[in-house]
Amino acid sequence: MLSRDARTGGDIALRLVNRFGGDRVVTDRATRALYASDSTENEPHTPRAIVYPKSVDEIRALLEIAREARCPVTSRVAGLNVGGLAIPAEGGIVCDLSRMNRILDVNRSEQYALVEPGVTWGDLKERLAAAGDEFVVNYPLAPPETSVLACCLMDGLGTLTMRYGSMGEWVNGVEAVLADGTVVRTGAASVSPVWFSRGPLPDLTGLFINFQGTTGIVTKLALQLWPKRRLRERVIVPAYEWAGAFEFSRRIARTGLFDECGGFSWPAAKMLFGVAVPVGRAPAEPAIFFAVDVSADTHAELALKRAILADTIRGVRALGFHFDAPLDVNALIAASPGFSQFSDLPTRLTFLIDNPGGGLTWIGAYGPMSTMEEAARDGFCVMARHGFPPLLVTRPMKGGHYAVMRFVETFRRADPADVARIRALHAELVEVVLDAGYIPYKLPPSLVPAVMRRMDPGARDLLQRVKAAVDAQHILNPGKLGF
Amino acid sequence: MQVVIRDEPSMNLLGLLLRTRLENATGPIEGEVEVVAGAMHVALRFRGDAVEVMRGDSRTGEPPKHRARIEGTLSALLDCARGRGVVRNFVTRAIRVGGDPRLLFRFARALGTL
Ligand SMILES: Cc1cc2nc3c(=O)[nH]c(=O)nc-3n(C[C@H](O)[C@H](O)[C@H](O)COP(=O)(O)OP(=O)(O)OC[C@H]3O[C@@H](n4cnc5c(N)ncnc54)[C@H](O)[C@@H]3O)c2cc1C
Repeated sequence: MLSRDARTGGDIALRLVNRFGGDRVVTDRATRALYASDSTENEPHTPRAIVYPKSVDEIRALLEIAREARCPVTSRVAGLNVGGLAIPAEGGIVCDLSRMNRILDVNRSEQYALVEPGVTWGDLKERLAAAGDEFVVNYPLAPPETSVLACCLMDGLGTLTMRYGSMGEWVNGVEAVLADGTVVRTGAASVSPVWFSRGPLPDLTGLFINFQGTTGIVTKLALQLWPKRRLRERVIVPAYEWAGAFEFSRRIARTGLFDECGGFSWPAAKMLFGVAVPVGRAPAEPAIFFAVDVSADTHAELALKRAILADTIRGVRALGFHFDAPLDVNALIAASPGFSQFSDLPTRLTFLIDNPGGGLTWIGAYGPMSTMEEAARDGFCVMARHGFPPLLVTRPMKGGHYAVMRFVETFRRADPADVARIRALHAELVEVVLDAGYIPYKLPPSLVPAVMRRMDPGARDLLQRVKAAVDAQHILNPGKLGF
Repeated sequence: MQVVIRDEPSMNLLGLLLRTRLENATGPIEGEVEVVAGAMHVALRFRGDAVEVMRGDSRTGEPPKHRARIEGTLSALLDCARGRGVVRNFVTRAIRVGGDPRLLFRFARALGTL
């Protein structure tokens, strides 16, 4: 419950200004409105104030003020999670961490970068290039101004997820401030001066991953870096039937030889080429395009991998499925420069971000490779019934142990009828993905009940107890995980 | 060149892919070039410095006098559009052409392939 003080504002704003100075506490109506919503259908809530801390001590001070006033605090960097996760509680405080943006270390021997919350994918790319361009990271398809640390905490995914796993697995440990002001370090760095791994200790890092900022404010995160191979190329493989497409992605993942096999369905390709609302798949048009990344240290290795890719395509063709030969992404860019949005990461997918209706949302879910067809078939059926094209982003994860299916929609954000249409769609779509054994990631608050209903009661209870242990007053990003 | 895509929301990818190349092409050209990539099919109807792109299966109107056809795999067509591997693709028959040779020549030159 919010205190009367928090609901009315009381003297919180004054106390924040006294502690942080007027230039780092914003309470004007226009700025608060900017922080009240995101691109999705999730209900907007206007915060009381936005605070821009610069240090761990300042975060502790902010939490002290919030505790005393029993006022909710929501951490945020770019607010582009596409799930309503950084929308604050009504009358709460937004802790905007974009000014804590130092890359504290690029450790070459143990291969990790130690970052603060405000470090963006663009910053990290620049820094790695300046530090000799030896390493690669798991770039998402997200804009360059978004946070590396937030993506890890949300267990996001990127172009090296097929090889090395989702973003949560790239984390060696964190430093976090709990609601009561305690500062904790997790992973190897809780004992050693070097942030070299998660273990060999009880995995406290997990207390902050997939918790959407409800268990602590993370102030440092050690992100694994992986060696950059000397040669790299991206090809696009058009597939004409869904069943063949999923079989292809399973086979590619199991070779263990490729970095990425990210599929995007025909509406994404059409939108990339400027069609705002694709109405139908034209006759004889590919259903889905796979971006396959091949990296190698020698030309012989590259040639061998190309040959294995060709062999894999032959194998699925032999099952009766229709595939085009791989297209060099540079040829596509030469034909249509917009295609570079799928080549140079991090990227701004302008056809999604700047779509005419302004609304962008999705249900993305991780689940079994064996039910990809089922999830796609039933998901598309629901999308069609609600009038949306089958816009899907999919890829095998972690060598094909599981997969992601992300059903994406653009909509008219200012139109209540369209917002209602999205809500109705998502209410059905979440059940479809759960039925196929999939679990939504970056779980939007409105979908939490559907997931919790199916969760093992013991696990559900334990989650509540963990939350109570680290945030007894429930001030950290309330409402996001059903608590 | 001025490019008009007929019924853009349901245009196939081949037509959409060709758009930028056609916008940068220089006319004038008269006639219709049919481009076939695998099972995708578009007709490019040129009138001076303008071109209308139609899906192969939704062509209407009287076909013009000058007509030509280019057929190949998507990757071979993309290569040729960049001016790469033109000879190889013809020799290996990854690209096949037919119809009015003068129209084909003008088309290739307009796209910068030759
Ligand atoms: C077009 C588009 C494509 C995208 N593609 C991808 C993709 O391919 N893969 C992917 O993973 N993501 C993708 N995203 C989502 C998102 O942009 C990224 O995951 C991004 O890195 C998140 O950063 P952010 O700054 O937007 O996080 P925010 O939205 O600011 O925060 C996200 C969550 O983290 C919490 N949080 C933030 N900082 C902290 C902290 N210090 N401590 C505790 N909690 C914190 C917030 O409360 C919130 O719950 C995409 C987004 C867009 C718009």
